[in-house]
Amino acid sequence: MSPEMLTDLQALMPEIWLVAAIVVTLTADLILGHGRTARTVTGVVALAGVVGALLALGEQDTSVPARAFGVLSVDGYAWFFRALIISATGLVILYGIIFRGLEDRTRNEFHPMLLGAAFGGCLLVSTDNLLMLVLGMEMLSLPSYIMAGWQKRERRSAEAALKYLVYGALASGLMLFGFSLLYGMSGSLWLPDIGLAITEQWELGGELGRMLVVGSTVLVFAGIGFKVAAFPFHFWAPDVYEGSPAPVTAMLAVASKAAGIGLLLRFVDGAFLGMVVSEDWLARLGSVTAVIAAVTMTYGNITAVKQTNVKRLLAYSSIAHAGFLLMGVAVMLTATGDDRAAVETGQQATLMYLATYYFGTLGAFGCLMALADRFGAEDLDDYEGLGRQAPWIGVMFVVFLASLTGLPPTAGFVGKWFVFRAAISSGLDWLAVVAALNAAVALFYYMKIPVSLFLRGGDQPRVADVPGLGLVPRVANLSILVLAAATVWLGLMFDDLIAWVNASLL
Amino acid sequence: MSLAVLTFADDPIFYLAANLAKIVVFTHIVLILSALSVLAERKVSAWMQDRLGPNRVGPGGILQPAADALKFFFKEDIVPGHVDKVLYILAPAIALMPALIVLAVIPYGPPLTVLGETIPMVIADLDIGILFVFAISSLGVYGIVLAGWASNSKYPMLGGVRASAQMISYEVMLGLSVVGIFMSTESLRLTDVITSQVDGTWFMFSQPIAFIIFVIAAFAETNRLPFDLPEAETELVAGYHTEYSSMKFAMFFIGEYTAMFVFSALVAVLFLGGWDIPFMSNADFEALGNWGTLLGFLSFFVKCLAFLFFYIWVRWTIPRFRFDQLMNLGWKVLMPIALVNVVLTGVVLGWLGS
Amino acid sequence: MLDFMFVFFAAIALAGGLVMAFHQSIVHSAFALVAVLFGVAGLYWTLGADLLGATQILLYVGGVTILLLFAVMLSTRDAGRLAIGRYILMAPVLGLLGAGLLRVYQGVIAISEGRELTLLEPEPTSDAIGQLFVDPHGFLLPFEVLSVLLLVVLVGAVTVARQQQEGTPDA
Repeated sequence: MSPEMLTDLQALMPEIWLVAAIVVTLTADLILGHGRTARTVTGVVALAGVVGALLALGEQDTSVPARAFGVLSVDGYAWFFRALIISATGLVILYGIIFRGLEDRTRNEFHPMLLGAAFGGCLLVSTDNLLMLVLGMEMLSLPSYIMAGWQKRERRSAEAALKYLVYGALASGLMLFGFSLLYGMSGSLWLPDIGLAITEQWELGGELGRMLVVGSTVLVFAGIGFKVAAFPFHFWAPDVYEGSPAPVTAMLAVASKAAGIGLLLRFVDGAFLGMVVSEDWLARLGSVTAVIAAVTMTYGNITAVKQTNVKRLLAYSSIAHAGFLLMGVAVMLTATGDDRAAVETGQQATLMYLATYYFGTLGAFGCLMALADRFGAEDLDDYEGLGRQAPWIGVMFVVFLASLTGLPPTAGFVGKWFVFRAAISSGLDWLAVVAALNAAVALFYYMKIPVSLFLRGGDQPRVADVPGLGLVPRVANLSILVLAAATVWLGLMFDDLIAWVNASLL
Repeated sequence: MSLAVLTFADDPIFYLAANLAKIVVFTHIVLILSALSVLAERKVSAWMQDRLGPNRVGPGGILQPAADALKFFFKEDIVPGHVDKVLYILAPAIALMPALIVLAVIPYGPPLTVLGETIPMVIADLDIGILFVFAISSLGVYGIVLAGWASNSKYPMLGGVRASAQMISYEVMLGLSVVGIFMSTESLRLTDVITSQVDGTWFMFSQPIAFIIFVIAAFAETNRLPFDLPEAETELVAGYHTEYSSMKFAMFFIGEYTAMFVFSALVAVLFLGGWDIPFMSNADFEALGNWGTLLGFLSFFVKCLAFLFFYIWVRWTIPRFRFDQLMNLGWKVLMPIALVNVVLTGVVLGWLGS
Repeated sequence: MLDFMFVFFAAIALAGGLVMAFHQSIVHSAFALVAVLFGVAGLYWTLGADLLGATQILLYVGGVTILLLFAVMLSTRDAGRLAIGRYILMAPVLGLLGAGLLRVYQGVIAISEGRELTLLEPEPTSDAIGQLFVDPHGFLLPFEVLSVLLLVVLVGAVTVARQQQEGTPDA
């Protein structure tokens, strides 16, 4: 093995850990069957794979961007997103182990799906090659479709899988079509080459060339918009989020969305910002993105208000958060000419928001699962009085919701603040106003949950308390506690986070 | 060894004439052999059951196929009223076509020299020969499936469904089993496979596992006993061609026997050395010139006929599998073995190479 | 000759596509899909991509579409007929999309007309493709990723599709 090959493999160590965990869990399941031992072994192996991947990630030095296998760009940016995706997967694996809705017969096969999706997400955010983009996208999506339908006996789960699959296939098709146009324009699979070709077509291609650029961009954005559940492509999200098993929903809302945003930023940066692109074109793209961001968050928040099922409420709010994330992208695109600083402001805002969103959403889903695990509670009505039954979880839930709303002492405030600041600094004042109004709406519906938990209901809970006493639920609760602590801590001391994000910019 | 291939640019008229001649000659040889194999089937079965078999038409019954064909032509061609006309009529043609197309890439003998030009004894010597064979022969299932569906009747439908499941499954084993061969020849071109066997050992001996799997899969792909579930008489009347009569039925029949010949030819090419004769090398064939071509040609057809005989022999010896047994055999037994064979071949080749 | 082949295969693909889109019976549509895929494989061959063409036929025509046909045939006959009337309402939207697409294609043509095209003598591609698959800076990684993808999806699909045996408790 050549030393060059060795460095390439070194850069891929986290992914190799994930794949190794996939293989070992499958083999263990094959040998040990479906008994208790097998469940323990596969769970431990899956978690070990994630931990190994995180450790391998920790060992990586990304100060000098490296390329691996000619198609991966292993830089700080990739590091940031891989860290988010892999650690989120670890938590979701924990949630999956305690989640009662999964049948024991198929529990072992659940881990390879999760790890596979994580593997796909990692590839998706570290590549600037169209072929790998497509592969990473499929690697992330296909296991997700399957996981969405994992509760076979639940009609809603089957519906979720089918909807996700059909819309997802459509989105993949559109994106592939867009990629084929881009490849036809540039004759290259590499994003910077494509950026060059786009500039050339826009400047010199006349009306037809512009048509081609617009057509391919719209198609590609449609595919990515589907992945992050942005407005015109969001309609799968509520049903899928509600119908899927809760750990899967957490995975979709966090890891899948992070991967989609990671892809979007890299695509925008590589294909549109790498060159001196016509400002006219970028300004248009930027204003369209800004409008999409505004509509997405407004739609998500307004529809979330009516929801009574907590999971569905979080699903709609997750659409709204996609809108906030897109604000940063709009800022990137509106940055005029070669004003790199403005581009970085937008990127920084998106990454900051994503990091805070990560803690808030994973934590909120953790609390939701913990409550569902102990009390079988799903609707707002079920939550009445549970805060007094399980004060720890209740308080943590409030912390996460406060963070998702963007209230000051939590991480969410920092994220929102960065996004607002970026929007204002690039002249998108109207967008900042819309976003502020949206945050107010979000406060209204998020607070329905704490109100139910603590202020409604008598001393008798509406649902039975079945305390989970195993080790895993405790570990899961502990991890939620860590997330809550991090949420508060990052809300107060966010210098490290800023430094980290700044090191991760493209 | 690379064959000196005549191209269109060299001499268009000669090229066209040579290719047309090859197409006409080979297709006819194969079709006549297929017709005769129908007779052979009846003769061999009679022999195995201690009967005489057809012996009235021509000396020893040799003209029986001609009589059968005449009978088919003069029978009334019934198109039942409840069928889907377009697909019903299309199906027999689709069943026959793939088998005939595949004939184009089978090497029948060493190159022939005419008027100083070297003509390879294969209609189209494709670089991806075997892939082309599998690709085209996989289309054969459409004829059966569409016949089953278009007949709009329950037994053909069951036959069609069985056929599609069976043929798709065994196509996988068919493809996997030969991977080892191409790993050792480093080419997908069928003539390369043969020339490597002429100078080396036949793959029947160096790839015995692949040979057995391929033969089993070939039986399944041609819907022959013990895997003739798509047309199992005792269960499905006549399976997918229950509603067919006259020449349309005959086309299914010809298609089936041509497919048998194609698979016999493939077994000969891939495992029995094609035109090879034991103890002869490529140089010997070249030294003999056109006589070498003739010898190789005969050797090839002897192998094909021997395998056709094997087909018939098995049919009258082994009883039919049950459908679940068929699927279990394919997916749970043959496929793992085929995969292991691939790995094993790789290990051995790597070991020999280092 | 090349032009003739192109027109021939393109006509097969187009005709198949039209039948597929407008035929009322799903089985006929599925069968027309075979024609489309076959025509496209033919186009690959015309362009000298022999391996790609053969693989297209082997996998899509010989495998995927058969499964599709299989599924369609096993559903009832009544479900096999589509009411086109219901889709008439979508016609304006689709027409608009189609017009946009046509413009995009015009752009594609405009670009390719500006390019210098050298017609290469078609030569076997299987060797070069094989080399790319094992070249660390070619498609080695995508190739390996694809195998992981197929493994995971296969296991997942089997798990979801596997019939739950009634009466057996979840061990």
